[in-house]
Order: sequence, then C-alpha cells, then structure tokens
Amino acid sequence: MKGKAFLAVLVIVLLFASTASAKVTLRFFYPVGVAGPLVKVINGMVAKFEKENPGVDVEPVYAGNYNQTMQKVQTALLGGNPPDIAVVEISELYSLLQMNALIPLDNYVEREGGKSFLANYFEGFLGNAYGRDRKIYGIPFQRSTPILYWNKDMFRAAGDKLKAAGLDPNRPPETWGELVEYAKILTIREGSQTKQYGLIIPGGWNDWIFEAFSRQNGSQLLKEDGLTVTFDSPENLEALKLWVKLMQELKVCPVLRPWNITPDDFIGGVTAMMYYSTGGMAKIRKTAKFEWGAAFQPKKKQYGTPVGGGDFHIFKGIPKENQDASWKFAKFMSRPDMAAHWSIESGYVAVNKKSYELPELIDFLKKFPQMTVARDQLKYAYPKMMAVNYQLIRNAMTTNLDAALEGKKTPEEALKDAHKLMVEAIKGS
Amino acid sequence: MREKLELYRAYLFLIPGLFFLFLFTYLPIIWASWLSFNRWNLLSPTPKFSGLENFIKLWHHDVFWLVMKNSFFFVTISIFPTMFLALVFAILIDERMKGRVYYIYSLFYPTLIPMAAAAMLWVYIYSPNLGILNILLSKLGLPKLGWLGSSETSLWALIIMTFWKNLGFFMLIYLAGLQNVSRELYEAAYIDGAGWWRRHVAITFPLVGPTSLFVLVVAIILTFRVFDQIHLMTEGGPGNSSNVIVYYIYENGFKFFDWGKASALTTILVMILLTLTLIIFGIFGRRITYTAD
Amino acid sequence: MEEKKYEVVVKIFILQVAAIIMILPFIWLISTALKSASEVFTENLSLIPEQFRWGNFAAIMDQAPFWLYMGNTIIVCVGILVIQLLLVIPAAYAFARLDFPGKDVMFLLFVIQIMLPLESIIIPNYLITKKLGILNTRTGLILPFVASGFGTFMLRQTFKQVPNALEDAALIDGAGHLRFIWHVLIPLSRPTIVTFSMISIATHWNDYFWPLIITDVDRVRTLTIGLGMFVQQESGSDWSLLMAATLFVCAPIIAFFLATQKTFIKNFLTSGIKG
Repeated sequence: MKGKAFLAVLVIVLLFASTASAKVTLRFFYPVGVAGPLVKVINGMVAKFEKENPGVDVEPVYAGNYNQTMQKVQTALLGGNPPDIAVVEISELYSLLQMNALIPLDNYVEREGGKSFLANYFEGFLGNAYGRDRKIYGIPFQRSTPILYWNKDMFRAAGDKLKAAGLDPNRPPETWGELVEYAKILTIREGSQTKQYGLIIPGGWNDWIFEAFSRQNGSQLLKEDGLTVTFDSPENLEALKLWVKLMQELKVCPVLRPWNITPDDFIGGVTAMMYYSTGGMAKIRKTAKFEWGAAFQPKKKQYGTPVGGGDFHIFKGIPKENQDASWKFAKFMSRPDMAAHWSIESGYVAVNKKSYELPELIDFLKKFPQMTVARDQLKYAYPKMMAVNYQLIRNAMTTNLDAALEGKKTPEEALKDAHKLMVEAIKGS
Repeated sequence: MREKLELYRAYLFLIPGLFFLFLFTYLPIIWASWLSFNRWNLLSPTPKFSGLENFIKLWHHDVFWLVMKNSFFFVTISIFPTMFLALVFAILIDERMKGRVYYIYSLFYPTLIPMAAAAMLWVYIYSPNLGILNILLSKLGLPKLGWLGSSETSLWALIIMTFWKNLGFFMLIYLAGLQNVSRELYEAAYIDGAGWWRRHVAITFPLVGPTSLFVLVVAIILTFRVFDQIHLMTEGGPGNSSNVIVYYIYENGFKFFDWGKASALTTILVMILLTLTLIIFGIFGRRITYTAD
Repeated sequence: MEEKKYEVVVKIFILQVAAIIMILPFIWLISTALKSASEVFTENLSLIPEQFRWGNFAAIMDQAPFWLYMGNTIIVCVGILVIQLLLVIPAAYAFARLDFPGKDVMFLLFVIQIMLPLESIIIPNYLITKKLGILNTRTGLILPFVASGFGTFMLRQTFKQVPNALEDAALIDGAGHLRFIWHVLIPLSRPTIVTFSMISIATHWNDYFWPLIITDVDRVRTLTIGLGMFVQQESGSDWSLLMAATLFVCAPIIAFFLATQKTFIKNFLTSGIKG
C-alpha cells in the first residue's frame, strides 16, 4: 500500500513538474551577409537573452547568406515546418507575405506604446517593415547602407597629382564627376598590370549598388508598390553608363569582383576606394594597417542610397507562446544596449536611436567616427525595393547588369532586357 | 512445387531493392512528368493543369538555351580529354614499377575529397589577388585572369577543376581494365619492331574498348550531374555563363519556387539521359550482358 | 621485352611532373591552413608559414560544431552502406543464379538507375521525402541512396563468375541458398564487395546537393554542408581558417584510403570493374 501511494505521488509530482517547466523553444533562422565571424556574436547575444528569460530557449540556426537563408525559410515553410522567428533580407518581405507566412505585429507594437515605441527606430529603417496592407511585419535588426570607403594613405601618396588636378587629397570625392577624376589619378599601372585600382565596385549585390546610383540620380528601380517597374529610365541609363565607363573605358575599376572578397582587396591595398556595405566595417577596422575613412556615396542630383540588411519576422503556424516569446526576443535584440553591441561587433548601424546615448557606443564612435557615416546617410536613404518573388527579379537585374559591366551588352540593351524580365516576373508569367 | 519456391525466393530477394528503386527513382520520374504539365509556383500555390505551358515558356527563354549549351559544352569538353589522359597515365603506370602506389594516389586523391572541399580549395586558387594562379601569372609577366568572376572564363575554370577531380578515377578504372591485356601481345609487337605509340594504338586502345565504354558511362553521369561546384563557386554566373542544367533545375525549384518549370526541366533531363542510355546500350548493349556472362 | 632506358626515364619524368601538378593544390591547401589570417594577404608565394598555427583547427571548432557534422556524416555513410549491401547482395544473387519471369526487365530497371542519379530527379525526390515526413532527418539522408543499380550490376557480374559446380555441391549437401551466399559466395567475391563499399563510402561522404535540400538544422548537418556554410560565414575572407576547415573535412577520407591503400588497389584491380 505504501508503494502505491509513493508511486501516485511520484506521478503527480512528475506531471506537475513537466507542465510547470514547459519551456518555449524558438527556432531562429538568420543570415550573415558580410565578412566576419558574426555567428559567435549572435550566439553570445542569444545566451544573454536566455539568461534574462529562463523560460525561453532559442536555437539559432545560421542559414548562410541572405539568398540561402531565404531559400531555407521558404523550404521550411513549404515543408510545413516554419521557423518561429527569422531574419531575411528586407526585399523578400512581399514574397513571405504572398506565402501568407507572417503575423502582423501591430498588436505587440500597440502594447509597447504604438508610435512612441516605433519612434525608437530610425524611420529610414522602418520603411521596409510594412506590407501593402499598411500593417507592420518586421522589426529592424541588422541594417546598413552602402558607403564609400577610402584609403587615406593612398590619397596622401597621390597628393601632388590630385592637387595638380584641383582636387583635395584630404577628402574623398563628393560627386560623380569627382569620383571619376579621383579614380583616374589613383589608378596606378605598371606595364600591363594594374598595381592599384582607383575604385572597386563589387559584383554579387550589384542590384543594391545600382539602386544607390539610381537614387543618387533621382530615380528608382521599382516603385514602392512592388508592382511598377522603372528600371529602364534615362537617369538609370546615365548611372549604368557611368559604371560601365569606370570598368570598361577607364579601367579604374576591375570587372565583377566577388562581393565576399572585396573587403580583402581594400585591406590588401589593391584599391584606393571601395563601395561596400557599412556591415563590412568591423573586419576592416580590425585588420587594415593603414589610415582609412568612410563617406557618403558621391551624389549626382542628390545624395541617395537604399537601405539594406534584414529585419526580424515572426511566423504564422506556431503556438501563441512562441509568438509572444519571439516578440520578446526581437525586442531584446533591438534594445539600445544590444543594438549597440551588435553594431560595434559588426559594423551595421545600431537600429535603436537610444543606443547612441549609451556611453559604450559614444566612446566607440569617438574612436571610430567612420561608423557614424551610414547612420548619417540615413537622411538621404530610401527603403529598398521589395517585390513578390524577389529572387527572380534580382536574378534578372544581376544577370543583365553583369552583362553590361562585362561589355557584352550595351547599357541600353541591358536595361531594356532586365526591365522586360522584371515585368514578366511580376506578372507571374 | 520446387519452381514455385524458387519463384518466391527470387521475388523475396528482389522486393526490397525494387521497392526502394521504385520509391526513389521511378516514382519520382513519373510524378515529375505529371507535374511538368502543371502550373505551380509562388503566385499559383497549388498545381493547376496547364498543358504544355511550361515547355513553351522554356522554349522561348534565352537562359534555357544558354544552360543547355553550357551543359553539353561542359560534358563534351570534359569527357574526352579526361578519358584520353586517363588512359595514357594508366598505361604509363601499368608496369610493376617502384612507387606505383604513389603515382596512383597522386592522381586519384582529388576524387576522394568532397567536391565541396575541392570547390573551396579552387575558389581560393582562382582568387583574383590571393590565388596561386594569378600570382604565378603576374610573376610571369602575364595579365591576371578573371577566372570565376568573368563570364568568358567561368565555365572553363569549372572544367579544369572537374578534370583535376575526375582524372584519377578514370585512370584507376582503365588500370583495372589493362590488367586483362596480355603482356604477350606487347612482346610480339615489340619484336615486330613497333614503337611505344604504335604498340598502344594497335593493341591497347581496341582492347580496352569495354572499359572505355564503362568509363564513358561513368563520365557522362558525373558531368551531367554537376552541381556542387557550380553552387559553391559561381552560383551559375556571371550572367548564367556557368549555369548548367542541374543547377538551373535547383534555381527554379528552390530559388524561384517555380515547381512546374523545375519539373518540366527534370523531365527534359531524364529524357536526355534515357536517350543517351539507349544509344549506349544500343551500340554496345550486347557487350554489357555478354561480358557479364 | 626490354624497355629502352630513355623510355623509362621519359615515363618517370612525365609521371613525376603530373604527380607534382596534381598534388600542388593540396600542398597549397595545407600550407594556407597553417598560416595566420594576415599572412595570407601577400603576393609572395611562400609555402612554409611563418608560424605553424595549429590553433586554426581549434578556431574552426569554435565557429561551427565540426565534430557533430563528422559524426552525422559517419552515421549516414555507414547506414547507406549497410542497407545497400543488404539489398544488393540478394538482388545480385537472384539475377545471377535464379530464373524467373520478368528477370531481364527487372535487371534492366536496376541498370537504368545507374544513368539516373539522384541529382537529376531531385525535385520530385524532395517532394516524396516531404510526403514521407523524413525531411531534416538522417533517415532522409540515407534512404534515397540504398537501391544501388551500380552495386547490383557489379555484384551480379562477380557472382556469375563463381562456378556453378560449387553451388550445386553446396545445395546437395543440404545448405540453403542463404548459407551458400554467406559462407561461399560473399567470401569469394570479396574484392568486388570491398571495392564497392569503399566507393560507396567515398561517394556518400561527399554528398552535398541532397543534404543541402533536405536539412536545415545543425543537428543533422553533414561535413560538406558545414564546410559550405563556413565559407559564407567567413565570406571567403579568412582563407586560413577556411582552408583549415577544408582540410578537416578531407582528412578522414584521405587518411582512410591511405591506410588501406594496398588493400584498395589490390581489390579494385581484381574486382572486375572493367566493363
């Protein structure tokens, strides 16, 4: 009799214990889109979150670069097994919405204070958080703009030549015209070898870079509705012609350098200037052995860039506790101190305005003022283009841009062909 | 009664194999064929019958023809030089000489390492500034090449790397085949005054016919199914210059999520492979079952 | 037949040159794996690193659980091989020794499979794997590969070469078919079985496309995928770590084949892989 009673108590205790300690486990997919050992940083932040929130376990799943992560997310969705929370490239939002994959976050935002909560984030970053139904689906996390990096030592070395051309060796170019002139002087050739390039504009994300050119010339590639294609415009043609001129005619910029290794080229002293994401800054900061600066990308009609990076999204088809816990996680990661930490470790812009009031970020920015450039450029930044089936559209853009940059198609042809393919992709034919 | 038992036994031995064969080879082919005639993509989330639409779209699509051209180019340019050199090296190694294992392994080890690892290594080798090839070129005073970053050279870069990877494997197969060629034939030819080249052209090349057939089949399969190196080294670019059929199927299925088109492409690929099979079996078919007997 | 001296010299010269050219990339791999990150950034071709950074290997463990990946890869390869042998040996025996209606057609089905590798039909295979609910499992990594037309073909050939007399004798003595297979046929076919097993392991150790499609969690990730993702992580920028990881992924299979080289070569050459 004693035995049975003991057993009964044991069972009850176990039952109670198992329900009481029901932990929520979140699967978190995320990409790393720039150079650097950022997986470790994410793991550290996740560990801190788990410490502060003992009822929640987060399983961070590093899913590759932006493309691979999006593919993994979509494949998981199709397999009926969505992650709980994920960071994907901002242009993909409409695709996820088309797949009916995300929950709107308006209720959570309201509970946190609505507009005052959102005011914590830079407006430039919130532009890509909304669906066509004007509901909010994303919380900014790793955000960037493309910027211009310049090698101060190389500029000084070319000081005489620059001054002779009426250019100041102590500052980087500010307009397209200046960009060409500086690049020409800063390109050093020995025989048939180019010992030093004036500028490197990488391939890979050349659609993002091209959108920057487009904005600088007062145009855009795709309208905000994600349906109207404006790729083939006279301003964009001017932009593409400039780009092709730098590569093919003046040869101050190598053709189609892979995105990944472009920071290597800058660090290795292969080029005097580089267009790249601010997200690559941590690597450059840690390994460059020369004095370098960062600046707004040169303007034509205006300064202008798209923003870049990825937001947090929370998925449908998961239990309510998971959604609530995911919201906690997203809030945590974009908290002032966490956002500052992430920015310092990566080079991305801290998405939370309050981060800039924290002593550790203030000190850091005093030492590395280059990190403020992307944030300041937000004044001139526009949301990145979004569309359903963005992968297909992106493919159309990069294939044709590549062809033009290699000199295989004329800029006019490339723009027309890309434009046609983009329209088709959107129509769904 | 005895025969019935034998029958049951035979089927028992075969059923498990046939089951998996059906499940993962033939059923998928049938399913893909059916899906080819359906529209199923991001904007049309359940399969809807659409007749020949996928095939017509592919027919009119530039990229499709480019991919086909690249695939056939890759296969033909890879196979024949590799087979030829593999045979030559097999002949050279054939004699019982010292250090034979060293030579075999020095050619064969690339086959062993994962294609993914080889891809990583060769991305590094092809790297524009840090890669050993461009460094060597510039030291020789020659211009650096774009390799993986240029649409002129990307496919060639992949072909070279695939050659490095497969050479040893084919060589080893030929080496096995050469074990059957009787030394006496060479003796006789030598006595007749035939030089090295004549000896092998007259004797070796014809006698390794069956082996060549085997190598050809292996080679065709290996080169038609290339994916890993494309995915890791060029992602089909730049500008689809290194896009081949299996990668294109992957793109349509897992990047653009157009399952209908991807299935249509799968059907086309299967048709090509089956046609090649028919041709090979047709010409050499008897040999396959004959030599086995 | 005497080989003229100069012929021998030429032959050895060609082979040595070829060997060096083929091995050079691998030496470059090892050399880079042992360098420090910044040492890689020079245009100087130095084969010997300034300092041998064995710490690089510990560093890669830090970034990704490579031991876990290795464990998964081993489980998957062994799983595939075991089931392959279980399926292929009886099937080959049936085709080699037994007579039954439909034999030729069924054999053809196995042989045609050789020409239809998984990569060519990956889309429908993905859908089927999804329907079976084995996405993201090691089972899903194993099952699609177990029906090997190649193995069936090879073994059938070898089995056919075992004299009928042996089998008849065994059967008269009262041994069943299975005992005959186990005690007589398999030992006699050892070269072929060993060769097939080694090729199977080498092939599936290197699987990439299939795991890429059906797995997305670390828990079941294999070495090749881990390596592929590591690239992105380092964004091709820390070559020394990347080459260290690559070396780590290659090492087991190369070590395995080096350790068994005599066995492998001997078995391969007598296995009947020659058409």
